[in-house]
Amino acid sequence: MDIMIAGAGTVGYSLAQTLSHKHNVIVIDKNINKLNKLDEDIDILVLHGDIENPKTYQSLNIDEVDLFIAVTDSDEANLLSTLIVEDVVDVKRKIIRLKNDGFLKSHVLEKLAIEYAVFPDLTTANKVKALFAFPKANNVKTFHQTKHKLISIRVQYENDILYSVGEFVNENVSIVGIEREKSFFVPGKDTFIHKDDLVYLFGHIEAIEEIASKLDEKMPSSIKKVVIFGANTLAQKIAKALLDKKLEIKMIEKDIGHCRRASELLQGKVSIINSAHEDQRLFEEEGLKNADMIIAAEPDDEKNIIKCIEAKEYGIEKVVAVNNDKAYYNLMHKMGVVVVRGSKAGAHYAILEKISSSSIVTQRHFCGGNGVLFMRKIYPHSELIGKSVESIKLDNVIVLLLREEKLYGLSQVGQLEQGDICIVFGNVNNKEEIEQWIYTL
Amino acid sequence: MDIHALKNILKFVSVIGMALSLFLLTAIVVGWIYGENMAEFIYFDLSLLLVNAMVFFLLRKHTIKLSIKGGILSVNLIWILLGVAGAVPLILYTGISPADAFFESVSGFTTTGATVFPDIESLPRSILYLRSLMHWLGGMGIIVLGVGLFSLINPSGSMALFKAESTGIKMEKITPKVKNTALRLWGIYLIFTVMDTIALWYAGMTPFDALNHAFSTISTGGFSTKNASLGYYDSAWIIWITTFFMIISGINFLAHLKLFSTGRLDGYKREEVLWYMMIFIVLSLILGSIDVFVDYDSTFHALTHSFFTVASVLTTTGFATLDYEQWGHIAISVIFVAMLVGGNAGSTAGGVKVIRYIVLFKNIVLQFTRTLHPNAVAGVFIDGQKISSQIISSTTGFIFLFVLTNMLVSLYLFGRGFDAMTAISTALATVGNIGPGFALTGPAHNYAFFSQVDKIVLSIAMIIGRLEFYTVFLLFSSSFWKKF
Repeated sequence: MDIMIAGAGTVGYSLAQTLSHKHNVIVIDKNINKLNKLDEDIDILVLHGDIENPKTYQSLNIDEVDLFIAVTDSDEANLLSTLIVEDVVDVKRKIIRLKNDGFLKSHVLEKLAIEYAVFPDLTTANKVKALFAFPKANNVKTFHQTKHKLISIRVQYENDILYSVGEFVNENVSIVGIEREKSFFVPGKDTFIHKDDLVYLFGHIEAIEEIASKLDEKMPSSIKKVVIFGANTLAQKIAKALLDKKLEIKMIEKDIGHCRRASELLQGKVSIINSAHEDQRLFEEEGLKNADMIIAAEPDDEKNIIKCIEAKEYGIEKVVAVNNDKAYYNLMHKMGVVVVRGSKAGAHYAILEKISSSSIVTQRHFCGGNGVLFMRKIYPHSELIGKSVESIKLDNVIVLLLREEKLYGLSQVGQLEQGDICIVFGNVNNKEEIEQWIYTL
Repeated sequence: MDIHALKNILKFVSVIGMALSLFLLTAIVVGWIYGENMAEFIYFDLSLLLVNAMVFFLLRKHTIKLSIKGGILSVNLIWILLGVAGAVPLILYTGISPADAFFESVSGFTTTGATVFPDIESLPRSILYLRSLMHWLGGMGIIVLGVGLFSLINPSGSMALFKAESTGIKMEKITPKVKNTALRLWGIYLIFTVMDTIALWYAGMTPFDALNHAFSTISTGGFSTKNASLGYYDSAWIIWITTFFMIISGINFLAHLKLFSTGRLDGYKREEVLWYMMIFIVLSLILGSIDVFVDYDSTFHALTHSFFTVASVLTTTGFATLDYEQWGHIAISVIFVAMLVGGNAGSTAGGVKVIRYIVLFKNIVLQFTRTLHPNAVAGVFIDGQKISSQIISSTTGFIFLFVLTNMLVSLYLFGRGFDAMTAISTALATVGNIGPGFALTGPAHNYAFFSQVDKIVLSIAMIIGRLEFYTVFLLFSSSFWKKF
């Protein structure tokens, strides 16, 4: 595919890096330094210019691109560029990143023929919110094809009982991945679960909850008092999403401007404290040490990490950090921090998953991008109906068939039926083999 | 160096080795057509292919992920190995010493065109062809070819490799994938070579000579199949055709690529091309008038040879039709200027290259402005684009390294007992990849008389010049070898 990316920031860079393996990528930006860096590192074509200027696209001398992705920091520039590029180049699909979720319910995207818009801040806020419905979870993923969820749980036994994976797996739930000491793998039935493992469960929410209560005995099962570090746009969205949860929320922010905007948006329902939160006394004076949960939602990963360490020092168990730089993902996990993809990482994965998914197959990443899952629904009139399928010949993957909200192995079901969903979980290193298999079932 | 880096380099070298052995097959075909005994050449080529194929096979599952250091090291290594690989057939078929053969081979691959053979015409056809082939492969850069054919650079890999062998300030890309740009460049290169071959053939050369001279011209190398170089052909047509192709080979190939792919000429409307053409015409006219006044030649004859000579030296080709040293001191000065200038960035020509002079001159003007108007906000602009201070300082560094290398080689030769003219011009002719110098290495002479050690020194000088100094000198930086 020929892909044009407007914006060479963090998101543009990481997208270009991943997409350049298979596709021809052109990146456009005003900032020559960012472009030089891209040009040095990655085999793509960079173009220096303003994405809101038609001349920029004219200088390329190309007639069409398969995909245009606008991921600059400015909503206006992103929206406008999708219109301008089309005047010069024939664009087949358009994907954009937006901050203002007001566009979610407007017809603007439709009018501009934008196929998909990602609202990373909103996605992150919703992810944090999902943690409240399920306090023991590290991460909750939902799917539009099924009510089943993919939830990760940190193993925190009080006693020394050893469980094996096989003890938990049934038709309602399956253990599809374990992260142990920085590496991710797909477990077999006789794999033992260790302390501090991060276990990925796929299945019914009740079934998962039951297992979670055995695996995690430390995490509080209800959360009332929450501290959010940061009052930036993302933190505001998180606080807003949490408003209906009847929580006591405190927001701590250094920038008075952010504080004022947050105060206006949240209409006094949240206490907003303006302070350089490097100030340790806050934990004492504002009683932060009594919180059930802290959410570090600063744009800097480093700051979030420091806040998490401090909170852990004060004995707060549930510590959530927003992560944008993949380099810090392992470090955060190792510290026992719940990691939520920040707006940049979120935008990256959302766009990537959209591009690699098709009308037939959905692709999702989990465990900091180390795990990957593919989902293929058998639609009416599919030629696969009535066909029996052999499992993939690959170790370290799990293939499940979801039929009427129950999980089966491929060999158990015999022939495929309409409405079945075939799901494969694997390591990201096996992504290509799995993708090949699921498309050619 | 860790095992991973070693594997990277080995696999990379093996790919280039395989490519080279395939190209050498064509030399065997040429020898076979002319009924020469190719047995030894075949053995050599097959073993080259086998060794490299074996390394490649053993490392087939290894994905190359070259770091900047690995890339630089590989490029240096490849150029030395190219010299060695090219030398073997020369030793086998002409009986020259290993140092002589290495010199000849490096001179071939670096498109210098300096030869150790006093009697070229007595050489077997396969060897004559091999010499021209080395030019042709080295001209566009064998690594660029490797990049194109085997897409050696991993998508997230470094451009460092492409740049390490590049022939200009900045190797630009015009397609998203470096592979496609590399292949297209080779496509244009091939088209020019075919055009030149046909033109020369039509103008009276034998097909064999036409092909060899085309290889030599488009790569701006300078090896000929005749002792008297192009002077052998008493044909104004041949001289003008060669002049034309030398000049266009000295222009940035991306400009040609633009012309071929979009039909637009704006690639040529650049300051560098303009200055290059201007320097070419002015120097040629001066040299032509000297010829007219000194030798009382006809104007046409004088201009034919002066344009040819200036093109040959300016593009660092090194063909000769006349012994221009006979034209007196002013002529020598004029040719010296051409030797110092060189071609365009991104062309097959060597030397300092016009763009660097433009950058430096404009920078000097900028310094004048800044001195006179201390508060002025100004910059160096070329073709309407601001040149970053990083490029200016790397250009200054380049010139310094060019002067330094030339000085070291000149001093070495002077110390060895050669006269100043020979020492200075030979240094310039090898470091600038030109070929003929003045005095003992003048257009009517060859490099046979140098000692074995001299030839090794000059070979290294040629490689340093071809890889544009930084790539080689980086190896001498202590931080290159440190892990921390």
